[in-house]
Amino acid sequence: MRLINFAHGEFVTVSAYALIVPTADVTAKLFIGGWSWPLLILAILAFGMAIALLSNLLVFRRLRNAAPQNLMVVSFALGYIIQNLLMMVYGARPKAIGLWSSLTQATELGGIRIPLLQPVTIGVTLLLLLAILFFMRKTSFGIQMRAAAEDFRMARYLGVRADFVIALSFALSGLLAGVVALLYVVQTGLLAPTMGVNIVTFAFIATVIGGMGSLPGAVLGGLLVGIATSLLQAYLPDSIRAFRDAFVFLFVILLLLVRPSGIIRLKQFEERV
Amino acid sequence: MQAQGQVSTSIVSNGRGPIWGQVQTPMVLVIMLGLIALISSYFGGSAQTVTEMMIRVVLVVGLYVFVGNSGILSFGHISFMSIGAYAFVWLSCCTLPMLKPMNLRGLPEFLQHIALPSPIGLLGAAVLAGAVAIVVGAILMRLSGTAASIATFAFLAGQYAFYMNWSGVTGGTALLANLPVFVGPAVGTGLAALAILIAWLHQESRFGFMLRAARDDQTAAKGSGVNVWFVRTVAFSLSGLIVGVGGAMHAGFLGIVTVDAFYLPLTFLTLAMLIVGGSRSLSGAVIGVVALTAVTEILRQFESGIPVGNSVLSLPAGLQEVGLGLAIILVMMFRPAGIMGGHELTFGSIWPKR
Amino acid sequence: MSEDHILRVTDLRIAYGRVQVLHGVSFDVPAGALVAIVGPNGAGKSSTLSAIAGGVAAAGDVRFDGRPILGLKPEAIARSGLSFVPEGRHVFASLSVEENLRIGTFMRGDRPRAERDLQLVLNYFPKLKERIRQAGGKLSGGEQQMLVIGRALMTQPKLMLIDEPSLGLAPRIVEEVYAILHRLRSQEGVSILVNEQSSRRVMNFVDEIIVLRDGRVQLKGRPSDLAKSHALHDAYFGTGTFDRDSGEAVH
Repeated sequence: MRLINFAHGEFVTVSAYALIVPTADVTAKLFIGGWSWPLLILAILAFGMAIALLSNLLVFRRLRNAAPQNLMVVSFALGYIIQNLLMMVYGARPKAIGLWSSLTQATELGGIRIPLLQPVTIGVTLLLLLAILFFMRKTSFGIQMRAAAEDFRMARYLGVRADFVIALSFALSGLLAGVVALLYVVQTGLLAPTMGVNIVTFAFIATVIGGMGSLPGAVLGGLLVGIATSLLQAYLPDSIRAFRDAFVFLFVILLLLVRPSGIIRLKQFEERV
Repeated sequence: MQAQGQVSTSIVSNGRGPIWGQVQTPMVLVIMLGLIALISSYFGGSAQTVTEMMIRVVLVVGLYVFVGNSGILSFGHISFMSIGAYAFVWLSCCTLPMLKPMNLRGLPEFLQHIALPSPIGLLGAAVLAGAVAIVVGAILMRLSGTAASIATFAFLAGQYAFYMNWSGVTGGTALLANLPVFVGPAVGTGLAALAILIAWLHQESRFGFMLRAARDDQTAAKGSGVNVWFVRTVAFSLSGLIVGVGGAMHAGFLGIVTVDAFYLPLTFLTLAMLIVGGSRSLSGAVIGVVALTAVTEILRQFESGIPVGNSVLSLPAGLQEVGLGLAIILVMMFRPAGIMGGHELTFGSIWPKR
Repeated sequence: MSEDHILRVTDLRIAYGRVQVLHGVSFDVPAGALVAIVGPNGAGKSSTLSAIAGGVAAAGDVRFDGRPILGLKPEAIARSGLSFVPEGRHVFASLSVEENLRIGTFMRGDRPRAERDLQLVLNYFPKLKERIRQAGGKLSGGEQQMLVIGRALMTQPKLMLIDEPSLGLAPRIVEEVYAILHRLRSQEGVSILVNEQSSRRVMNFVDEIIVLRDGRVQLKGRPSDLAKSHALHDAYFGTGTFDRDSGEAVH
């Protein structure tokens, strides 16, 4: 909904912390994380959705007509609040957590040894992409969301319920935050109150260079950032390899200079004079 | 289109009235800050809080020079703070001469063994931050709107990643201590006043005027011969310079510096102060700092415990941050244009004659 | 309240900030009629339609089908059977023609009915049929105008508000659009209220003309009555003697 949601990272963090018992102890005791896996996945996804919907209900819904920069500041403030509440409850120190550690063990796949988690991550991502694509193209909710994303006012004149569409997009983003939380925790085995921020910085950059408001753009942007990062990691001379991330961001600025509206430009942005 | 309401207020409030009407604003703001400093020291308030507030005034006023007048949100200004702070370190560190060659092995030879007086370090911070801002501004100001905002964000992230890993020169993740401490309430207030004066001079100059014209209607401004890129770059450079001074003040106040301090939380805090105060007037920038500092201070008192009768009422740690976030959201809900709403303070507005 | 009026607007007032753009406008749209509001630029025509559709805050009273609708959300008004086609067409450029049309049916959830409506609309606008899979943004101006009218029709409105349907279209296409509107009115029984800058284009098609200038209704009447006198011209330009741009009004 044209909202750059800086609190999204905190949606991820909160979903991840829901795995453990809320205490400030250094060692993490599994809470939802101890449930059987189908239940666990459902619970975390539901949790991500709930937190996203709740922030819509309490905050964003009341700021429907606010200027984009105000919304950005508000989402930043919301993220800040969530992050600090988490620290109050769980303590500021990172915690180790072993969730499905069998997934991180290396297995033989087509002659190469890789952690099982990697194909699982790729599979889950592809599956999700297909699911989102189907949802956006083939269901009436998806079509309404695309229409509203393009011209919110006009969509309302055609009977599309504003509150509903916005709630739906928050729910969807919360659900995806839950997925990211699970994948990330399994991979790193760590929980930290600031974990979401780093993930989202990259995601944000990827979306922007791909073309905001475009799903293929976001995918393309994500791939590009990933590829650029690993290429730089492999080919930068040793002496400046430490500056890899700095180069990635430089690359982002260059890309923006060439294509300010992202790689995949949307029709409605082009047609306006 | 959607900015029309704000356009009219900015024209009213920044109207080219008689010169007296305009000079009042920096005077009112400086007198206000001076009074806060005096009253707080008279009542035994913490000099630290006052100094910290003055540094933030410099930062937010610096941010205002660009963001307020151009209407482009910048996430990148804390980078200039970082650049200024480390320029100060390179020139004026340290109180113990042997520390510098030890901690900053990558520094050029001629910088390794000097510890210039703090004012020169401050000047160096201004020069370096300003110079980087000219280059960065000249490149980024080819973009406008959201793309420009995002590019400033990428600049911040890139500069942060760069300084974090430039260990020989910045100490990387390590904390650098033993910097000369020269910023207290008096120096802080003085520099804050200077920042306000510079911002005001820019705002009233033709550069400021043309920049606001481009903010309100870019096409019309271009049509009237305004070089939008140039006036934006001028504002960006000046504002980077002021924020760089703020960085040196930060280092020269705490006596320590880490790269980590200059990233998203501070970016958020300064932007929030600007927008809560009202990003469209100089008074808004200053009032935003004062208001949010007051909120934080009150919550901090509660956190450390307030005696109520015989017992001590104390609220859990972390409340300060949560309360600050809530305050920001509430202001945005009920006063979307910020506390000042685009207006400037004058003597008349404090002491209404009518 | 007589029910032969589908829309009753009483003392409608709109202000943007301190600028009052509508100073108490009143008019009715009879059920099954095609009515045009004409007036020069800045007369308040677009604001009037937006306010009726819930897009702009306004004071006064608007009754649609006997029910007060002022202050309702745009989607609620749309769902009660009033469909608004705002100025500038607003085709969803990245959605296909079919998706554009289907948006209007989602609020009902009656699939077989939606299919029938789609066929009906495609019969009215055969050009859209050829381009059903194309992105809406790829259509020509005339086709986009047909698409948005068709899209509004898909909501099964009792009343359609159309803001400047002839804007930016070639005269031949304008004729075509109005011929279709005329048919919609007589065959489907849809009441229609349009805005136009020029009365010339609508004279032959509409049942009633309302002249709006400076935020006030200057004149109302049947085109045949108005055409005979100078009244229309005078009302439009706000003068009885000023005669320079007479090409805009019809004598």
